[in-house]
Amino acid sequence: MLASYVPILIFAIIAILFASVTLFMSNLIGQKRPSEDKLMPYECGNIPVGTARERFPIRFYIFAMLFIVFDVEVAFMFPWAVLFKKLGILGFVEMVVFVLILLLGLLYVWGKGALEWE
Amino acid sequence: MANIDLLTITPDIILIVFAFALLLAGAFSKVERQANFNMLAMLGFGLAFLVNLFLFGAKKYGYYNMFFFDEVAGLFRFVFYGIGILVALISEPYICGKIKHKGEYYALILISVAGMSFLATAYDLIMLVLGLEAMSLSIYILAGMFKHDEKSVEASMKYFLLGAFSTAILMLGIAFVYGALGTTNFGEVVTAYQKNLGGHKPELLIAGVVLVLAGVLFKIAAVPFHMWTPDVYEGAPSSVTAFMISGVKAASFVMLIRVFVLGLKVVVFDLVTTVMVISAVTMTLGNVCALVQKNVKRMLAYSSIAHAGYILVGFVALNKTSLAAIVFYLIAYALMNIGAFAVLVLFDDRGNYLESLSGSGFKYPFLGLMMTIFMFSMVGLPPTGGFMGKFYIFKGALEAGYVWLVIIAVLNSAVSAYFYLRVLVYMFFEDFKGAVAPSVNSTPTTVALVLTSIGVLYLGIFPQAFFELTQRCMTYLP
Repeated sequence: MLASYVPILIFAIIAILFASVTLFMSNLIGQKRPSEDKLMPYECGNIPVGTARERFPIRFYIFAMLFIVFDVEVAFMFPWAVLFKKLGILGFVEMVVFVLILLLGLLYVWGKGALEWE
Repeated sequence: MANIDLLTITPDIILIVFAFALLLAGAFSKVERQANFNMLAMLGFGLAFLVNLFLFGAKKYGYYNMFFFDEVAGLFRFVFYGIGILVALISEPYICGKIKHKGEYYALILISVAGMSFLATAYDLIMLVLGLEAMSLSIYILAGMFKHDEKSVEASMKYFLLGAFSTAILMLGIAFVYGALGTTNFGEVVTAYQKNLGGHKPELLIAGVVLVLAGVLFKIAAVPFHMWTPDVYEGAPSSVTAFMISGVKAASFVMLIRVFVLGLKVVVFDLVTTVMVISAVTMTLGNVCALVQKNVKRMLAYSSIAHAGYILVGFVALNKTSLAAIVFYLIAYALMNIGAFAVLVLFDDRGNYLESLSGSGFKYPFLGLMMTIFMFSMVGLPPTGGFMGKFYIFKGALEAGYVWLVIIAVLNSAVSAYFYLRVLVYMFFEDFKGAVAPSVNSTPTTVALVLTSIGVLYLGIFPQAFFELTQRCMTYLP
């Protein structure tokens, strides 16, 4: 029973070895000529301005969270739409209930005033 | 075409509908006009209770065998809905003015109770996890409901981190069990065990079962997974602590029974020794730590660990008497804890320290009497429900032959008399210092106090009929 998991163990060991040996070897035999440009944080070629840990308004967070909810909704809807005919009336009713619950959530968010941008 | 029996979960659908109604009502109305939200929550619980009364006694499978509604599930649903009603009663005077989001408060309690009820009805490990998360996530938020109280926020954060971790362990265990058996459905476990494994128990299955047990024991707050209990129970708002200490405990034990006695019954006897040791250590540690507590809430938190130990004795014995006794004990335990917390809630958290309770027993004789009943019940003195619960648990354990475990448990309850009765010593034999006064609007809490004390005394004086009912319902063992 456990023998069937041996390949996974071997794979994990090889992965760890490969990563550590590569890092160790490059550290050992690689040349090191640091310059200011090389030590700069990599930001897709741009010269970094300021720290990455900046404060930003919390309301972005709320919108991002709301976006995720409706993003997930769509992720559920695509497979449902593909199988619409096969699922029949039952699938339709279930999707209506699902969307209705999310709609109530949206109403709640609206009532709480989280959608206002002041 | 499909086996969708909506009736199996109708009460929980009612709860969820009420939760949504409360959420929306809370979002679209002014705080001053939300005074009757607890009535709405109680209406929801009451309706669910009635529907459950109507369904009780039937055996139904629902949702492609994801749910299995039987007598045990029905009985536990009564417990959860009853707890919901009592908690809604004691909440209103307490949170009034302290919490701005009342709609959310009651909605989360409703959703959490629906999650508990799913735990009691689930017939599949996946459904079980969903119920567990619906319950736990709501309670993480409820614990931090006092947003400006550091302790409350700390309790919420601690509970969330450790709870999420324990769920991860539980999920890993379920993955292992699925890997070994090829199914997560309780109904297919025995066939899968015979067919796929040929009656052998591979290490993978045992590892999975142990991990699942660890996840369940975390929620039960058994040693060594108890560290979160004192901090969380002390920091959370008292009404929420009353809810956690009674509801989550009952839900965790129904999870334990359903997973291991109904579901993975092929391995349950391999676990008994482990659980026996855990049970003995749990009650000893809970009682010894409770001895030195100055804070009543913290003391009750340690006492809840100790009680978890006593109830685990019933699981170790694993016969019909002891499993029925678990249900009986949980109900008595829920009543006496909600009652004791109702007194603390009525004092508006000013009586949380033993010192501050000084003399309050004679100053407020009704509350003193109530506290006496609940503390007697916690020690396990007749004529209270706590005594009969312990009696039946120990009876079941003796029938199964665990004499030593029962001796340890009895010694432990003798130790526990010290710290429970010390509350009464402070309340009756010290001078009143004027530290506590009942909050102004106290009618609902008083109603809850009367109900719980009547319940505790009823279970203590006329236990027979009720115990026979629990025995009749516990159909998992012959």
